[in-house]
Amino acid sequence: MPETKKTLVFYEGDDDKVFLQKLRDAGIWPAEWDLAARTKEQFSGKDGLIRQLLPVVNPENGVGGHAVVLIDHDEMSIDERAEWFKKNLSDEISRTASVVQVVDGPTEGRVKSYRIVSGDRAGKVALVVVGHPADEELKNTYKIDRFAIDDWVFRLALNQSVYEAVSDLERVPYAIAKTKYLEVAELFRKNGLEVRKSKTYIQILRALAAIGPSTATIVGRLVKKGAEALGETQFRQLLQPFIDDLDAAARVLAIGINN
Amino acid sequence: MIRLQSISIECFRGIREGRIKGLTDVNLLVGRNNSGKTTVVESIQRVASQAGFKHDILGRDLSFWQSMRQASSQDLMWYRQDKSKDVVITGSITESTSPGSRQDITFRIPGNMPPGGVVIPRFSIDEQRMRTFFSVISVLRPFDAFSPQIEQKFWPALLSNRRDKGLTTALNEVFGLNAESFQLLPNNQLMVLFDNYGLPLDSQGDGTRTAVRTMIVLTMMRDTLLMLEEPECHQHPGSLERFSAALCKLAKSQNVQLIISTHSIDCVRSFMLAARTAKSEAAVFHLTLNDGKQDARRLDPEAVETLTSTGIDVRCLDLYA
Repeated sequence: MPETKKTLVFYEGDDDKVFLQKLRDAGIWPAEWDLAARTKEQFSGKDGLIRQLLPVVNPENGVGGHAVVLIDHDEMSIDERAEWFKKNLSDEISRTASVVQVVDGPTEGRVKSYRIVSGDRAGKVALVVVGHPADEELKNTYKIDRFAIDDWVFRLALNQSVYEAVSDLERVPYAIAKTKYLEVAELFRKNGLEVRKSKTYIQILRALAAIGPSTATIVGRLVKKGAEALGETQFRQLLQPFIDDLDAAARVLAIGINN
Repeated sequence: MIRLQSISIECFRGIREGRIKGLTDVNLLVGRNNSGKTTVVESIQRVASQAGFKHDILGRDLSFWQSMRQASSQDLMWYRQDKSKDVVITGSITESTSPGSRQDITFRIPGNMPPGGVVIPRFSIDEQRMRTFFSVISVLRPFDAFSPQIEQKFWPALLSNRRDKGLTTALNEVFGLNAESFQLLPNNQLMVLFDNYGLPLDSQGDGTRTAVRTMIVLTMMRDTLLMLEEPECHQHPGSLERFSAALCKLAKSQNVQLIISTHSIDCVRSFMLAARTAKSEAAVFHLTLNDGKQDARRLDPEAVETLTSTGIDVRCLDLYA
């Protein structure tokens, strides 16, 4: 039986890695997907991500393999972020191998893909722009306008069943936490401190509950306990359309698998 | 400086079609068993036979390959023993001091014909230099380095210009010894001499013996190409790092191109590092063979480093593409 080719999943930060690891443990994505080991000291930020991605998908001086890239929206739309990604990937390639081209591949819903082509060889990337700009509660109630993978973590924390399943949060009842998010965020703003990202609310939660371990630890616990408390169907529903995007990424990479 | 730049193979042994291009100073061939690494090594020597090669530095001619495979039948040279097609192997060499220079040399065995070959008559590279490059192209396999014939064959030449001194220095660097010199006794036993005692080389461990004999062979080569199969055999990772450093340094000074086939990630890492230290260029070639088609993916040291830090083992690229 032929071996299934592995796909590497790239992400931005350490918290993202933990979030994705726990999703993988919950069986949310295909077995052949592996998380890339991100070396952030050497490849920091979004530019670093692209430099680290390049030899994985580059058919010249690289593997010509398949990758899924998860990049935060931040303040960009999907199209803007996709344009940014393609331009930066093309620029990086042109710096090293001029015969290699980045061409548009299949698109499904919010997911775009690219082929990195040289002769009869090609690597593939599926780009999943992460964050939840369609979430009215995040935008209107919590005044979030920089969207990122943390939106999904915060979305889990805002679910009462998930929240109450995490033992580290027992000392702060769910209703109080919800009130305090807004109070603390308002206090921050009055003092000239920005609160525009879900990550800030996760950090507020961590402070409220006096959680010693890192933010990544609480992220991991929210995902793990969320999957257990909600069951697969509800858990997937809560994380829509992110989970749909991962499924779409697997499909666009599978199109013309030998090309 | 002359370098073998590429090798293309048609209908030879397990390879129906394949090409490796972008060979440089230090080249590592990796890939699964039956990916054609040894066939590439043999192909290079077959091409060399069309441009001056008769015997390698150990005195072996091309019949070595038949004996090594324990196959007296020449039919095995043809892909799937199909003699309706010609075996064609072409090597391209370049001359770094002459930009754009390139010489193709083709080894061809017509179907149902005895082995023969042609040199394409387009000498853009000095023929004498080219013949020097090809004349002693050699292969060292792990068991070769146990042969005492190596010191017996080369000892007078080593002493004639005191290249034994460099050998002693290299051995001390690789294994942390404090040897003063080597001496070949009349009974052909090579002794390693320390301050107040001497030991036969063959009383040393396998790693020391193979390293010394490999270094002796490389010391005797200049302006040519040496192919090493699995040089990591018998070496502790720490010794391997120093051994590869000594080899790359010597290869650079002797102007010897290195092609190394290996299954060891320590070997890949050590030679990449050693090449950088020696200011030589290096590349890893990952080989796959599917239905007779050999595919070679070339990675420069930066790509190897990035892939390794990303969690990809460069010996197993076929898991990803």
